[in-house]
Amino acid sequence: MSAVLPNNAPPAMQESPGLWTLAWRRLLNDRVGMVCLAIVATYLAMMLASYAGIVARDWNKEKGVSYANPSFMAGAENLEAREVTNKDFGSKAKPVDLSDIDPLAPRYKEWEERAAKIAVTEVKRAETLPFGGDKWGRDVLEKAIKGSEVSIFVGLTAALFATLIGTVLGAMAGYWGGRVNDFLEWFYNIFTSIPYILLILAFAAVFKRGLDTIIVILALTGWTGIYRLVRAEYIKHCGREYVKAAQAIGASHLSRMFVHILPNASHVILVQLSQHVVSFIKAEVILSFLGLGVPVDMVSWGTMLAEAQNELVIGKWWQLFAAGASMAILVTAFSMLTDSLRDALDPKLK
Amino acid sequence: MKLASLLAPLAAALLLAMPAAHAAGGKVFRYAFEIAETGFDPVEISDLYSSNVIANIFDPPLTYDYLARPIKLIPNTLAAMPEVTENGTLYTMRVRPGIYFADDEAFKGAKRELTAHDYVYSIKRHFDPRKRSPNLYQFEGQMVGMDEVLADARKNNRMDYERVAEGLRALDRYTFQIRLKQPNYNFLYYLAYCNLTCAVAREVVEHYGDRTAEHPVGTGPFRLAFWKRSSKMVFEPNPNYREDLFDGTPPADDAAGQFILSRLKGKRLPLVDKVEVYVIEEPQPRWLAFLNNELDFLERVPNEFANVATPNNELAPNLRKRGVRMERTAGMELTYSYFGMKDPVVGGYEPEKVALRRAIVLGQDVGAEVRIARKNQAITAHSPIGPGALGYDPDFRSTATEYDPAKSKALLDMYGYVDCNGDGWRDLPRKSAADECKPFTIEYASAPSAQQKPLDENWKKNMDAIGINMAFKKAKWPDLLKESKAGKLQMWGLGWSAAIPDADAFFVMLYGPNGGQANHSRFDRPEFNRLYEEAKRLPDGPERNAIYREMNRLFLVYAPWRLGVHRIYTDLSQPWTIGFRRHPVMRGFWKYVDIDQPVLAQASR
Repeated sequence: MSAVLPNNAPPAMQESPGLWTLAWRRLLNDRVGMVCLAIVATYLAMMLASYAGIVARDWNKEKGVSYANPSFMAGAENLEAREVTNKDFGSKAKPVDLSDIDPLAPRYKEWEERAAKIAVTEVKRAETLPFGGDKWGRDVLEKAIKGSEVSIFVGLTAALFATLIGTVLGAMAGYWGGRVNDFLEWFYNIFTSIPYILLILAFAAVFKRGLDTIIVILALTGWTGIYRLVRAEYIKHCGREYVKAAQAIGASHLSRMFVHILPNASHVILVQLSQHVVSFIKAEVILSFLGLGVPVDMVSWGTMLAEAQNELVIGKWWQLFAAGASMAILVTAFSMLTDSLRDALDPKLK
Repeated sequence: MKLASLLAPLAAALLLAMPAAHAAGGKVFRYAFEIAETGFDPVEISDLYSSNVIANIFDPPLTYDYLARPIKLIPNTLAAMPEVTENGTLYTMRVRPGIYFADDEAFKGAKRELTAHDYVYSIKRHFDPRKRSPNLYQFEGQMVGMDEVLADARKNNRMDYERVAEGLRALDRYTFQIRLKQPNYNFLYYLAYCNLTCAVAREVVEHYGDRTAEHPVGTGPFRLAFWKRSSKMVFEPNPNYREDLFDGTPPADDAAGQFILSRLKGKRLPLVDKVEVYVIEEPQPRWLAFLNNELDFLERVPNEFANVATPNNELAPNLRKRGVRMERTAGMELTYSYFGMKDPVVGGYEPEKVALRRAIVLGQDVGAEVRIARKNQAITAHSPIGPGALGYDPDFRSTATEYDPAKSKALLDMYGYVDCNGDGWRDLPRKSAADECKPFTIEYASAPSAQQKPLDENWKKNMDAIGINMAFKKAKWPDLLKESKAGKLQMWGLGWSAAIPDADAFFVMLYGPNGGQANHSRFDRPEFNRLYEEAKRLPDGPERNAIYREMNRLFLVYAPWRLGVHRIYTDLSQPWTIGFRRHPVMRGFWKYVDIDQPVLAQASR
């Protein structure tokens, strides 16, 4: 009934550009959008390079003295690295002999020989580092780069997952309505009835600790807002003529939902995506601060900020600056990029 | 109207949450705990913060001269020091008549006098199996007849408080007697240790039952007026508190002590009208609240701010200009990380297990912890005994506690802790090369706080360096304490402050029969236990010190703990806060603290 008529001889006409091509063209004309795209791409490249071990591979190495000054502040006094000896408590006494009761005593000689063979190299610690050091004397710039790996990866993937969940569920609820809508609304209510941070903490308590867990937690707790907005968009679009037309030419439900309506709702989704990347980077900060986030041997902007809050009082601002600036630039660029994307994708602006 | 009524509780809640400005008229002493309290029943608590609180509410029979150094015991609720006879085994104590408990509904409106029976009852409570006293170990095996009482109580799971034991009984309304099985030269200190011997009233315990910990009713200078768990406590003077005048005998060359004495001598205690204690776990808000004059006293400057408050271990010029006073004391205390000795991986006494623990000890850099994490506000511990305690030897050194990653790695290699599956971490030793690889992780329990993080980082990087995979179990401190008592933790870092000024206060944590109570690691070696019991029977002197040294050596070779540090406490008082002097073991100091209102008024203008 709704079969498409076979079109055997297509007339030689100019192919009209598709939605994405048009959007790309519009984006190319948007200078702010392109700058932001370049910044985001740089960050992603940096993140990948750090993941591949090309940059900041030995961020964990202690290269400088404690709170080493940044190179451009070489002369400043660094109280934290100064030796303060508690003289009153020193002693030159000979170590006590334990050999008569020690279960390890029979192998003392072998132990000594083996120990002598293991070389211990003393690292020379620098007084200054390019962008300053943290309390262990690690390079703050390298930490920020390494930290981007965790933060961007977590923020981006969690936001993608949350958007995916929110979009699919929102599309289903909005498109089908009725029972499906009732069920999903009920499901949504459960999630929103629990305060956000509590929900995160509850998930964090149940799951094992790790990076993948943070992503799952954030995705599972963050989809609700997107769901509501997408659902509303779908309810709005469902009855529109172009959807009816699609139905008339025999497009399936899935095709109507994701091929026809989705592009028209994509501006909402994209803006949501960008906002969630930002809020998830921040949520990772909170989780890390509470000790539920990244493990101690990893670094993220969140852990850097958590450390920095005490450092600021003692005048060591560079860790806060490195993490804060990296985050601010990325977040701003990302928001503006998605704004440009929205403009580029909005079908009404054709 | 409606909005206002809605907002009022909110505003009240906000006011409660913030240290309020000084109310006109009353003297308020405000300070903060860094770790939350757990409860206020003397028999149930072992944590420092709750112990600090109860020492201000309840009265033990003896106390210390607040300002005397070296420390000196004086009668508290007793008419005189206990009469010690029969070779130091019979203690007779006479309670001063006319001391009253704070009023409480449990007394049904009557004034309730403190009697000898209260002390007997309160000490007996430690033997009640249902109370699960964490301090019972101090009394076990000490008093004639009480071990039998304990055995029966455990059998029936019910304590018979009517049963009279020869070793612990009241002779009349005001006299009670304790008979020890053998001389114990620390027993007098027990009588000044609130957790052990503070007097509670039986009516109160019976009235409140399981909620006794929320209703502390004592004869001491303060009573609990408001309590929001883990957040805020308010204490007001006990109106029934006896006449108690400020006195002390500071050494002539102790300027700070002499100053306090000159200002406060002869004044009636307590000196303030209210004590407000906040729980502020994070160091930065605590420090800023002090700088903002929201706290009158800062107990222990957080390490992060050591170089701001006390650069070069001297008070910073800006604080000195404000008139802030500093006190630095090496605490009679210790931090350590214990190994669960019953744990299949880190526990055990076979050479291979000992080797693993010794290697971890050698591989952990306490020096870096002192320098970086603790900002030099600590000294490395070389024995489990805290500085200043009887039996502490400042010259005790050993090669077993030094930081030597090469020796650590060599030891692990030697006992077969090598990486056999190639994942970069060492695996457990195998009987033969054909056996399956047995990977292992060591789980270190720690509380999620900013102060703990650098300690965790230090552990992690040290263990990485010797190839041991360490993971961290994050939970709140009181939860960890519960798990630790149940023996569920593999490793945990703890601090311990001495309650009695003797090495015994530290060795109790290694005495086998105390496993699950003070002995968190459940270390249990017969030769160590024997020495411990022997030392208890000896007075302070070279003979006992030799035994302590031997116990130190045994401790070092079996390594049930990684020794940490002895912290140095830096306490800051605002210019208007007078009277704080850190005492090595005495806990209740609130009654000695005064607020100089003219100075305060000037400062807040």
